[in-house]
Amino acid sequence: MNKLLTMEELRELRKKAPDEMTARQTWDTQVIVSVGTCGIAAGAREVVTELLKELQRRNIKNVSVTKTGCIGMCEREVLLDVVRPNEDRVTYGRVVPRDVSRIVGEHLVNGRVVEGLVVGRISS
Amino acid sequence: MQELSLHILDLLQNSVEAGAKKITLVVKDAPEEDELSIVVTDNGCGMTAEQCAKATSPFCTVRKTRRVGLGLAFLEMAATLCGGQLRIQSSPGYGTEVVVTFSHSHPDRQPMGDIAGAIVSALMGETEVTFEYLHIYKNRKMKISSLKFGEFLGIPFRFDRPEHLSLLEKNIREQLQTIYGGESS
Repeated sequence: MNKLLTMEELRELRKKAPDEMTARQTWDTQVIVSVGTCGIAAGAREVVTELLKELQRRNIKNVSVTKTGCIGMCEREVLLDVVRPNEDRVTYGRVVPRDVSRIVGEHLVNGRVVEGLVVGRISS
Repeated sequence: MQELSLHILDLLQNSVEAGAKKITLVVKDAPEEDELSIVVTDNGCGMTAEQCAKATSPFCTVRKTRRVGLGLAFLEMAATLCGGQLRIQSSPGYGTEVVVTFSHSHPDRQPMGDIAGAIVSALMGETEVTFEYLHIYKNRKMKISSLKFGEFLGIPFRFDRPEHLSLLEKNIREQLQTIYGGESS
């Protein structure tokens, strides 16, 4: 059964568990995707799936992913926020799956905001 | 909404916003009985009978909590358009159960779509939630439980860890593939 592959991965992950416990304390970045009805209709699920894939691909550990509901900017969905310590909280709007790798690569890795997609900022 | 899995995402999101700590999803795909049903049960804050009656009305929404809105209205429409129905049972302080049924063979019945992606999107970031998912197709079934995942991992399963979420998503996809064995829903 092809489930075995996943079981093996589970064991592997278990081996790495102590590392991850320490990694958890050093999380510094948060990515928040808005998944209200409006977000879902605009493709939030596809953005989340792509985000997880991209984080895996780049083996990024210090990021926690979370979500929020409708924040009232339904026409700009899918909304994706990046919160880095001591920096402005940046809201990206009309995000589609192909934007995700740019946001992860530029903003999360290199610390450069992807200006063309920004719809809002909250100063830290 | 164009897929049933997007409605599932919406239902799970409702449960999360109702403060549920335990959420159960049961999907029964029974073409031989011409039935497809989705049941989401949670132990969230629940609704009064009055709120329940209004829950599927699109513009009668408790804006402060955003527990209801267009989501349930869309789902009810999707169900009644193809010979099914939506039922909500809820009790304040105990939780809510949403049951939605569809006529499996109805031409307007929406396709199932990507359930794994929907579950992960709905529950991501929820560190307090435990989740169970049972999927029945004909006489085959699969079960996923976030607690079981935690036991395998040796550390609690966390919905805010990207690698845990990826693993959950992959496992759901693989198990679904196994029970469907190449047949489409």
